[in-house]
Amino acid sequence: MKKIQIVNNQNKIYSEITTNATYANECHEFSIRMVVDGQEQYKLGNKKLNILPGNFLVINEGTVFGREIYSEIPVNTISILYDSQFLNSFHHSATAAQSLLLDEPFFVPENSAPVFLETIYPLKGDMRYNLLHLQEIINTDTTDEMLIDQYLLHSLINFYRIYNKEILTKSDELKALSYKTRTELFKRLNIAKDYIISNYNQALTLTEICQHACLSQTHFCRTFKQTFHCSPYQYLIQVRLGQAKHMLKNTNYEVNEIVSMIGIDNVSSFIRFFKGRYGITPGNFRTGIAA
Amino acid sequence: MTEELTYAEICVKEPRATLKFLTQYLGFVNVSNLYNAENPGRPGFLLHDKSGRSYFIALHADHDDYNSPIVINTDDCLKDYYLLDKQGVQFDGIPGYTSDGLRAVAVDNNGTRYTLLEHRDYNDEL
Repeated sequence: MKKIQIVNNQNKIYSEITTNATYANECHEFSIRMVVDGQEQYKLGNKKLNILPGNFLVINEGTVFGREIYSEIPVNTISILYDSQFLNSFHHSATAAQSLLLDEPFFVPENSAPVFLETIYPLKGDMRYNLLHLQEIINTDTTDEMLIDQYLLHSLINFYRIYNKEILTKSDELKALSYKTRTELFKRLNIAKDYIISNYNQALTLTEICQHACLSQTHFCRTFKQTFHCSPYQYLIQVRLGQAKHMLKNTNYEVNEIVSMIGIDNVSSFIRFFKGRYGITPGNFRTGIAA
Repeated sequence: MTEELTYAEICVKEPRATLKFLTQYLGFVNVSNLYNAENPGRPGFLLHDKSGRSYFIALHADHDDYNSPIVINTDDCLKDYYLLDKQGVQFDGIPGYTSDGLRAVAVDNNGTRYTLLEHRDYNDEL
């Protein structure tokens, strides 16, 4: 099932539920892409990114990409494609000086399209609430475009806050370096982070992740911790536990089935990790939701 | 059957205007006007909200023109803000993000402020 909603300012929302789909050589406006259930694989250049529940991906205008869904269970995805003019106007109002906005209220500089780091972002906080509300609204088949516009606008507000926190603030953590070196290093660390998220259920090795990011092991471990405030291994465990939590909440899989699906060796380690992070055992967590 | 009843005592400048605002715009249904034996001068109302929860609300005019802050929980603040704005309800600014969630403040003609609060749990990751 595929649903497309185009609002009057040419922003588009694609909502799709499918088990099998392949799209090659797509190229659109700036977009925010999330998965409600299941997972979707994107190919951007030589990067393969798996988008899971709890994450979202942004793709800049003009980037050519492919995407694929292949699953036994239906995968529910939502993509928001922002009209260039809408995005540029928002970006200008969010970044220009107040005096300029007052003096020249209708001026939007040419070629002012913002370019964001195309990486996997955490879908949490207000962004998550907002996109889930948007999904509910789409499911009601509303034709009220101004209502939808509210959510699209707030999704951008939320995204800019996440970008500020996840990209600008975190890249500043590498403050001892020059701007050029810092930018390149941050980009490579994000390639590693995306690789961990995309392959969280595989038996990953540090060597493999470092090779992927083109960084030596010692350099990678030191700078990863400096940026993300945890070791790569701890980060991998966090991703695995996050997915386990989603499955406990939204599926009927047994705990031991979930453990094998998220790449953790045994159930007792999983229970220990889960309790350590969330302060509750997986069984009690599920019971608490059901109650 | 035991029914949960929330009791709220609200000081407002114009009790009847507040009742009208609650029922006309915020989806409350006035089930019955109640006699308040302890304070006959204070009108009491049994209201149901959109989800069917019951409230006994005692509204009374305050001599110092004090308006109690009224907080109304909503499941979707943006949607309610948009729908009320469309009906002509005045808001004190656009919806804003707080540590409790998203909120918008509606103001009636008497200056009574109604905070629409969508409580959000920022610790819940998925």
